[in-house]
Amino acid sequence: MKISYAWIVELLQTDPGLDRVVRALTDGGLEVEHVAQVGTHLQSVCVAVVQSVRAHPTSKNPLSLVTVDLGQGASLEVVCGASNVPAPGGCVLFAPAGAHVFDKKGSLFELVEKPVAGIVSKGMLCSEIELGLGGDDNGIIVLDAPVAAGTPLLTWFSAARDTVLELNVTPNRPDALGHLGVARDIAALLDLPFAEPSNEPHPTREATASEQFSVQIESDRCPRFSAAVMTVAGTTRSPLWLRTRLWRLGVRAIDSVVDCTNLVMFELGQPTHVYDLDAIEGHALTVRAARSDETLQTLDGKTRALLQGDVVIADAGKCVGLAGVMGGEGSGVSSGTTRLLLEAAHFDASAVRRMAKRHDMHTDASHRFERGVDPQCPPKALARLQHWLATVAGAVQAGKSLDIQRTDSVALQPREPLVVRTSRVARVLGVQITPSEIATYLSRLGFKMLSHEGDAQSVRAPTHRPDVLQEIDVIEEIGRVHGYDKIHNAVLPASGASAGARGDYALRRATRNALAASGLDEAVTYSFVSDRVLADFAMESSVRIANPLSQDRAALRPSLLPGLLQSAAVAVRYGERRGRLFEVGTVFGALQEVSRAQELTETRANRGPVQEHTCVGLVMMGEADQWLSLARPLDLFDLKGVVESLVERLGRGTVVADRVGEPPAWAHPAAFARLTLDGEVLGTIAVLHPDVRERFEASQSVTLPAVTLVGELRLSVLAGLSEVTLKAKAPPKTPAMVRDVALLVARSHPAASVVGALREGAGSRCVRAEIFDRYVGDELPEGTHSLAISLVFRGANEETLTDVQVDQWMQAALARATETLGATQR
Amino acid sequence: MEALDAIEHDVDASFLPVQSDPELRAVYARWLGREGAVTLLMRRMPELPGPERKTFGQAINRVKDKVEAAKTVCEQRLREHARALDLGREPLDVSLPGRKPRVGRLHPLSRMMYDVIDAFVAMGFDVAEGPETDWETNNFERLGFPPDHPAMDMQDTFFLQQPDGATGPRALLRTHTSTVQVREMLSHAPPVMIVAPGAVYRRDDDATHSPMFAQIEGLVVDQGIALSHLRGTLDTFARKLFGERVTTRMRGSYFPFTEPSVELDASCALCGGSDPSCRMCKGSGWLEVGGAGMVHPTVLKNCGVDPEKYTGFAFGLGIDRLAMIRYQIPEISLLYQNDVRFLESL
Ligand SMILES: [Zn+2]
Repeated sequence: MKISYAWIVELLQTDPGLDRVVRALTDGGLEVEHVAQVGTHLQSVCVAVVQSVRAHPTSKNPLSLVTVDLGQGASLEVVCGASNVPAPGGCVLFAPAGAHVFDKKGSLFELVEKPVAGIVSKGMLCSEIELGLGGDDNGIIVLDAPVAAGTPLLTWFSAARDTVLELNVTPNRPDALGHLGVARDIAALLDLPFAEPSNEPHPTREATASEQFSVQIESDRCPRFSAAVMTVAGTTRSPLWLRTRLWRLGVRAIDSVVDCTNLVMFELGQPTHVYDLDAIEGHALTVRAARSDETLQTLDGKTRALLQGDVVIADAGKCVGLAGVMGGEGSGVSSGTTRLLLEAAHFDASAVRRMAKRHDMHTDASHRFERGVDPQCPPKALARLQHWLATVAGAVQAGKSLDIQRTDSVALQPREPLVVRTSRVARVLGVQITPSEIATYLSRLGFKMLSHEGDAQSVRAPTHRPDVLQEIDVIEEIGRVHGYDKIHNAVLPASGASAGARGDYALRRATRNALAASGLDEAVTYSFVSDRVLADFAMESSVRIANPLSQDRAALRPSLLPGLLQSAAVAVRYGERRGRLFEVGTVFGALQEVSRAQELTETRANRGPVQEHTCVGLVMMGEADQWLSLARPLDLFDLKGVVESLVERLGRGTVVADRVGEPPAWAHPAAFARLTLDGEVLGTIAVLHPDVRERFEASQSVTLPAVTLVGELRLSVLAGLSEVTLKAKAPPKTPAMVRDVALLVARSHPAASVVGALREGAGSRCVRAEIFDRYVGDELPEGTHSLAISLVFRGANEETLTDVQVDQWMQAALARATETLGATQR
Repeated sequence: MEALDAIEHDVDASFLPVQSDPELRAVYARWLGREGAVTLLMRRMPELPGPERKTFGQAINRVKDKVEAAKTVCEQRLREHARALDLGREPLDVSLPGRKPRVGRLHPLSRMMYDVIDAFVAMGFDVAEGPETDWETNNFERLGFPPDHPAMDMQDTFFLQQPDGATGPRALLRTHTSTVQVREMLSHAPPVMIVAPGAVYRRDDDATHSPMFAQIEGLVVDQGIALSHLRGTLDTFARKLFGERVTTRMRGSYFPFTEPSVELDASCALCGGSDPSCRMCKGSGWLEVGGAGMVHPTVLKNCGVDPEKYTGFAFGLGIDRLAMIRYQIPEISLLYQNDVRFLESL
């Protein structure tokens, strides 16, 4: 919402100082987002009086050479392209070389002396657009009345310089959608006197028979309708001050009548409308529900099919306006209009909001009505409109004004008194405010103080504050006027309590730290993915967004992997050859329909409408990280090691990798592992399936590194891991004895089973067995490999082992491996 | 005896040319080895008559000591020589890269979030969480959003597809973590003192808005909680996060679920308001920390808390904005693209 500071000063009848006003508004909840000084570039512009005009001697364009008097004996011949140069004696505005004017795109540039079609012009005669005073680009500004040549523009027209404030008006403050309301708030916040402007009596006469009109309210969505007829000699161009005022607020002037309705709206926040009385069939307006087959051609030129629930203004034969949103084409004012029918009405906020939404028309009027205009305002706005029309357009009122009210309307009933307790104010704000301070603050805002009894004061909120409905709303007003900067910092009383709505925050945080420590970067990707990338992964989502921003972001992800791989691919497209990414995030299962009663039960259990799981997504691509040794491509054991160290960091547990069950579609069937943690399925790690890879590369236009490893884990399975379960062991007092052995064994036996057989055979003194090398080579028998395994023996308690004992256990271990797996020692 | 004298005479000189451990062992063996000269003489001792044997024995021992002493001196000389060689060798080229385990990084949003959470946890807050999908009941109704009111436009919502004819409350992606306020209060009676971090969603996508972003919600409900406590809490937080010199201000605002509603600003930690072209505060001297307010009595009532007995405050902070300020991130979408080259820069 743009606010003219000059207008505010006019309404306050004093200038409190720009900085004070900006600070007060911002602190008081009407944040000033931007302050713009306008018109400061007009310093050297002055009034010039035309002395003579001649045609340009050579130019083919209709250029003229105008000699102007610049006062104090100075005169100048300037080149001018406008067709409306007045006859000698007419006053125009002259900008000399060096002045700044606006170009057609709205940016300022410096005027320089330069030849126009061969003749040098030392300045120019300016249009509204060029001076930033209005939207008219159709010719130069010609003053209505004579002004002395050489008078500076800013002297003759001081409002040409102004400050425009951009206010962020929150939806609860419809009163601040007009200058009067903003001025009232400033006065209350800065403790300045405030009075609404009064209207000069305007000329009135009896209505003739043909100036009679009637208004009828049939819809309960319209509690109040004020109307009157005025006559004019035809619409005219508004005076420059009005055109400039509107232009600075972001609206282009149209004609004297429409400009006056806009002026009233920007002043009072109340939209009004003016009809051409002669275009109103039967001179009768009815506010009623739209009929199903009706259409309305709105002022923006569109024909709209009206819907059930729409409220319209209609004459005897047709709709002439969509209530509170926009007027109709054909019934509005045009240049030949002489008889005006003025409307200032109140419409129900939610009705206007629904109409504006479904017809997709957000107008200045609907913006105000849907926030709640003061229901007592229509007669006031009508009077104000009459005042301006009389002043600006020379309008004369014919007959009496009407003010029709639906007495059954809630909006028009006197507002219920509210009780505000001094003690409650202190409890909420944390600062003591006396009853008399409370009364002062509220009176400044237009509240009526009704009575005062002990702790309680009874107050009535003003009708322009529809947001004030309860004691707490009154307390906020007291706090605003008192000033939030006067509320000190208090230390919280110690009142901590454990959270009731619990999630897996701690586990997610520990997991993130552990994975980062393993050298992976964390990614955060959108929860929505495209169907296309899901199809690449042969996945389908169970939940979709009903109103997505785009179809690319319509599906809630059933897995982290598609989005994570897309992220990993971003840098690959720029030549990055390695990728190490993880994400700890939510994946979404099926949506569950619930009744209202079930919803509360589910909420209390801290569940939502969709099954959500926290997952860990893993992507590793390219070569292993090393230096000064042979480059090595990653393999699945790099990723397996990441998971193993994750488990080890979170607590202790045994991760078992096997190939049980059907692998997910994204897993290479020969290079995937199902991981279980202490018997529970943790997830899958795999080389990306070549089919998935091919589809992904095609759809994402990327070539992934030769090795791309992916994995996904269920975080909840890691929940059992805990520091709490760890138990210390005293360091053994006897040395360990180590035996290494190389075994030739068929590759069809999992390495883990070879280790298992050795440990079984070696007995209880064997405390560890680890593979430390693996060799595959052509000289070995077909289908075999050699595993180098180290076995560690240690005596129980303080028992010291002998070589003879350990050699015996080693024999037993080898015998078991040979017997069960056919392994032979190399 | 003459032989012994000759040996004694030669011992010291014999160690002088020694340059290495093997040479040392060889020279030593020449005297005291199995076939060493002194050893051989010793072996012949029994042949000597009694009285002479004693004298000879003493002489032998003297020579043996002399050999041992000369050996020790030689060893010392060799060690010193070797140490001098080691210390004087060609120095390492220390500019070669270290063999560094790859450093993985937490996402800037996680790092920012954890700093914020830790600041509040240090003040006694516990961490609560709720689901990212929720019903309109928790996202709007219980928070007192007026139905059919422009306040709803402040939060353009993603709704979830539901089967035709579904009659229950509409499911949506939560537009704020304020849903956890409701869930927390419904889960137990006051006192409540939580922060609730998490992802939230709004139908918005431009340089400063992402359709998904991260928020943290705070909620304190107990007897005797006032706006001054909110201010004190957020002031402490701002100083923990931005530095001790930072000051805060509170100004009026509007949220449907708090009354009074305020915005909290912190003074610019970078320029303190002195730089009109400051990249952090854009010259205003203030940074918006977040929206806050006293929990609306209607919200307390909707969650089964007696507003006459208890009061409370709530606040919400945008983690993305804080991270963008801290790390000077020009566009919010960079946070969700996860380009490794971006992640590695932080
Ligand atoms: Zn700054």
